[in-house]
Amino acid sequence: MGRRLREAAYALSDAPLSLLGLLYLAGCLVTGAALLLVVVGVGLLAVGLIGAREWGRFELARARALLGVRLPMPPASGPAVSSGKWLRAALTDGRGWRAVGYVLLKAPVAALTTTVALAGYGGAAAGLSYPAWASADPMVFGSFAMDTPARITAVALAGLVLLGLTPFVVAGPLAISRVAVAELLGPSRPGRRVRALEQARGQALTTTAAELRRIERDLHDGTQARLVTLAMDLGLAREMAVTEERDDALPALLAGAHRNAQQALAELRDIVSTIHPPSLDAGLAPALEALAEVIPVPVSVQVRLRRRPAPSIETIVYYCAAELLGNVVKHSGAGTATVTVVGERRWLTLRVHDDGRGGAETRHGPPENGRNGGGTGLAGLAGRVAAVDGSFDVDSPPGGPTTVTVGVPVLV
Amino acid sequence: MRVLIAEDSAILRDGLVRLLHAKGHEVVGEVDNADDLASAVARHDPDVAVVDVRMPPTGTDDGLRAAIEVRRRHPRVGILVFSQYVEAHQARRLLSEDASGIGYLLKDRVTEVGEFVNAVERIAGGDTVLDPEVVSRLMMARDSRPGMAGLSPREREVLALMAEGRSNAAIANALVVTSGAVEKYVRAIFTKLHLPPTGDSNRRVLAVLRYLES
Repeated sequence: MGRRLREAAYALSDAPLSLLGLLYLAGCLVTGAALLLVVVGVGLLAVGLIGAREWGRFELARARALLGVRLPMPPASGPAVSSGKWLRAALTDGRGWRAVGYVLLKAPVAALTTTVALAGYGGAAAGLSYPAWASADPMVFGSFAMDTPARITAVALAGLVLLGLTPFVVAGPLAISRVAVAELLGPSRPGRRVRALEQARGQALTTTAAELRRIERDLHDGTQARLVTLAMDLGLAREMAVTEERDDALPALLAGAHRNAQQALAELRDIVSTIHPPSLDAGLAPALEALAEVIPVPVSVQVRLRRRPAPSIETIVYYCAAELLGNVVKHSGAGTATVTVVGERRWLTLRVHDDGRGGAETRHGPPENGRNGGGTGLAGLAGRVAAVDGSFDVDSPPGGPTTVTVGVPVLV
Repeated sequence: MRVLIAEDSAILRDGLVRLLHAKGHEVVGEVDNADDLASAVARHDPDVAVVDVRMPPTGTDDGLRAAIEVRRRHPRVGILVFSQYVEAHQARRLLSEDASGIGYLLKDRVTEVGEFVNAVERIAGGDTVLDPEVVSRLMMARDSRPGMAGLSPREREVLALMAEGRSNAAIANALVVTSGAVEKYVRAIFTKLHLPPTGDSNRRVLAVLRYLES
């Protein structure tokens, strides 16, 4: 309901405001253009462009508040440096010119929007209030007067229907406005690209830091503690051997030390393989096949590549597959799973599908939550993929099946 | 000697228990996080608490903070803090209260079992034990600012070696001077740092601390 009200407010205010914008623009630009041969004309043109830009900010804010458009607000224009630079900046400002385009395009759209809204809501208001004024001034269609209680009710009902329908009719012109706002007032294409890349870079840094932290923790909590204990036990054993206190403790101590050394080796191997699985050296297909062999659920693997992806991409694809198959085993209760990798010239798609119970979702929990936090979970994977500008989609309705599709560039 | 162990790694904790038992000491309690340390000390009243710096709940320096808290509430209990890395600021925080019966060692020192147990025993007896590497780091940082406390370069060298726990003879050996000369330097250091000539064996560590604080 709130949304309908806001959209109605937008639609009804559209034409008056757009007319205002158009008049302002016409005032500045037309006069400025006409005076272009005179120096004042250039200044007026620049003022018009800055004004258009500010007007664009206002329009964007209005669309954000009333239409729920999700676009970042551009920064306000910076302070003037010197008159020369100021003029130049104003006249070459792409956003100013795009805002001019917006004002020009918006005028007819706004006229349409407001007309439709006025007709719809005005008609609805008239119909709904008809019982109050029917007796004073009854509607007459030809010879057919709407004056009996039944007919009055019918008119009121028609008003109600109109009230219900108008938002859907207004939605059409509003959609045009949404597109105009997004294309002409939102960030430009390069601007959007820069934003996406900035986000990807931030994501990459976060993921890398979390990954390093995880490795440091694994080493500290596991291997380092084991090696310290091993050295300690060996130190104790040496003392026992030297002081000839060869009681029963010595063999047990050495056995414990031996076990610790083996454990430390196993842990180190695990940690190393999480950094770079050796099987990846031979390529994605053998690595994924080797991975599938150690998964307790039957997994069929299909890999079709037109060219070998960049090593970092292979690593990401491998870990996505490993993590997703791990989820299949842990959460899905699936009987079988399939892993498909299709690599085109530029884009590679990994699809992991299982016939389990579904209901998987990308939860964005705090990254430091627990020992394995950071680089794991669907959110962690999505982060890794976002770092290379990839896409990550989870389709997992309750009851299954689950398909996770990961798209990454072949080369980075 | 009654020892309390605060260490989150079960592997290492078991190793420490094994070691202390083998050396004839009693482990009266074990905790695996910093929050439980203070109450465990109150309950078991150990001679020494051996505390890992990095422990849950946050996995940063919880152990150190808990150790400082224990020192305030139970000043009689010796505390040995061990750390995976040399963090001079940690040592300084720990020693800023009252340095007697306090130790700060690198975790790796545990592997020199004899020295480690010896350090625990000394701490129980009220000594201050600083890891040689911690001391040399602290001294190095201080040495880059010459003229502090009015010590000559030679006296600073002697102090650094003293801080590592070396005897006068060992210092003389290291610096290739006579024992008499070393004694003279040591006396000069004590005087310059205003340490009264008591029979306290702690005086050498106190000299280092005093120097670092100046």
